[in-house]
Amino acid sequence: MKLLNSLILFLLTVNYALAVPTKTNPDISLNILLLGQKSFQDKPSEKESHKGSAHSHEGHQHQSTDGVSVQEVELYFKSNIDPYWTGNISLGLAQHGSHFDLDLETAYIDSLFIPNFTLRAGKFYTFFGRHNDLHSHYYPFIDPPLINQKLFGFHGLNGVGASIAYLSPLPWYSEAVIQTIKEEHYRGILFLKNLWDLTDQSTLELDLTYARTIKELSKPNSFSLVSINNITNYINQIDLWKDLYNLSLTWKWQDGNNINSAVWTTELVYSNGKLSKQSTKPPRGLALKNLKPTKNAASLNSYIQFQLLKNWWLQGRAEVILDSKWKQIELQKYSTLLAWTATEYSAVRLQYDMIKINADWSYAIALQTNMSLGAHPAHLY
Amino acid sequence: MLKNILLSLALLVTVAVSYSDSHSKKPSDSTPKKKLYILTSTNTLRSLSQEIAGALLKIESLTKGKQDPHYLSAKPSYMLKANKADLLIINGLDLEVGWLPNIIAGSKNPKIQKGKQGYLDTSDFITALSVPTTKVDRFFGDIHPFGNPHFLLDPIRAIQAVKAISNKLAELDPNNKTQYIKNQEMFEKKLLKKTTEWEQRIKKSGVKKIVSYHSSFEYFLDRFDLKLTGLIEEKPGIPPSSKHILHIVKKIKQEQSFCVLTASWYQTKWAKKLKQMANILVQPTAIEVGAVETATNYILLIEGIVQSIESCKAK
Repeated sequence: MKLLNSLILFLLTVNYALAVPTKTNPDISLNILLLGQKSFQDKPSEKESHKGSAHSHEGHQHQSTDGVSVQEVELYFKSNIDPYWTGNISLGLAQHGSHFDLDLETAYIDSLFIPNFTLRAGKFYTFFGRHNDLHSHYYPFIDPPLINQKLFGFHGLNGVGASIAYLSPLPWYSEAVIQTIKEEHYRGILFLKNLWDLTDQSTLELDLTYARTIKELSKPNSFSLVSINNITNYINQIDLWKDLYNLSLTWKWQDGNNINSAVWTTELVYSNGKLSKQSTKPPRGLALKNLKPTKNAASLNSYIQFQLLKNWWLQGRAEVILDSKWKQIELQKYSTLLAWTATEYSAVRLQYDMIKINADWSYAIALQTNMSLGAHPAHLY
Repeated sequence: MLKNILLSLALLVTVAVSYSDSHSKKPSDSTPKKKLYILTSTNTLRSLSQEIAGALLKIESLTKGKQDPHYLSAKPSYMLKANKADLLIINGLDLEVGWLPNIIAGSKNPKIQKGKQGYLDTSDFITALSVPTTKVDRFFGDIHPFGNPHFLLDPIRAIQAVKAISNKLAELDPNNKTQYIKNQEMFEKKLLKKTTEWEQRIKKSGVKKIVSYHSSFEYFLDRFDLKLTGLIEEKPGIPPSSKHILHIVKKIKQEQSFCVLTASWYQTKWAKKLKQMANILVQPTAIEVGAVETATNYILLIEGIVQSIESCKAK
């Protein structure tokens, strides 16, 4: 019944949104991500095999997502509210095993009236490194970086709160953002983004983030789960972080007419401190088998994207998660992706992953279609 | 801790709003006058604005002449430029829809938000062609639902845009109003004279039909009484298939329409096919000021298109 209600509500919203085109309507777009995937695993050790059979964690039932699924359907509204505020709302419908969950991803307002400042209030993805504030159809790869999955789970670092962003008068682009949200716990985030034009066609971006758990809640919110690249059926709990640090560096080159481009991003994440209370929040994507919540963790991920022709992209990514003493690699993952973008509104992406967790290797292949309907979305840089 | 953070945020908001108030106050008469900074979305709009403003204002364009204004990236450094702008002049009709909204939003500049005094959409002052009269979707390609945005290639519509720019500059900088109006009138006179000359030359060339890659020349053709034989691209934004090229070649031969123009930034793979299949030569032509070295201003831009047509006849 819950599924039926969710679907009816979602379809009614979509129908209303797309069927009443008037000049005062918000910009409305609908994005559909479909996913087919298959995973393989080298023979696991006996100990791992035994653990892998446990499907339950704090009441959540986890299933392999091999096969075909609706990764996400996102309905997005954007419009100025009045001369002072602009509003953004996105609703996501995601497949969770055999049923679908409707989720309010974002609902926030941004100010338009204060020079050099933007105030934000509502539910939003916070700025954390390069990835957290991206919606799933903008992900450079089919799945988010491992460390984001490990730290933030399915919904990313997303919650209800407020933020203030300041664009500095420095000669290069330098923006500082302070955000505070309530999600599983109360969090505070400081984000500093710097971007320099190296040439007309290339830029260098340096982002620094510090996030802190300001206050622990005794009854954390529960979250729904969809696993987009679930190699095993075993879901471990996520890290209960206290302090997080992120440093990311991105170099980007684009020819004048968007026919060829290249992007190289490297991100270093360090978490320090562990919360006292247990989380019910499951991770998104890859099952982090055998990775216990640790007091400290560090991660390095780096990816490169080449736009070879107007419609073809070739990409590679390497990720490692280190143990608390930075001495041993607990998890490593290597991904390659080939994408064909027929137009700005449709893409087909094929991704191959190799994952080593402790001593075991797993492999996965995934095919994703990414389709956009409705208002032309402005491109992110 | 949380209380402290919320208090700090509230304090920051208060400071920000106070800053906003002080920022929006008009400078006193004793304040030295600073040149207004005008940002345009395209280089052609920069050139037209420069005709009106001369050296009175600082004018910059977001797109370079050699860039296709459909596909710019919303680089944060553009947001920085937009942050400092007193006026943003755009082409409109969704030409910049793929990138400009992010730049405006990221500029954190209340003056240039849509509907504010520092925002000028030149398409509001012209009559658009090819406005869909029925429901459209992307089956028809990357279609512009409010009409074809390439109206600045029609000198008469460019005059209407220039008048709107001149009025806006006079509104923002009343001290130089007389100069702006004088410059606009001079430019209009000059452009009208050139338009008559271009009409005569095109007529003399004997070219009556054009093939183009994208519907970039629709307004130009309409102004100079030329017909469009067909478009090389299958649908807006969709590259031609071999089948479509065969169809176009057949049509070119049937209608004896051998004048093929294309914006200089489009890929030339298809042009080579036309050359191989039917010995048809394609004229890469500037459709933005600065797209080729000779198109240094608006009049020279249109002059270049007229010369391309004349050279069609010569062949």
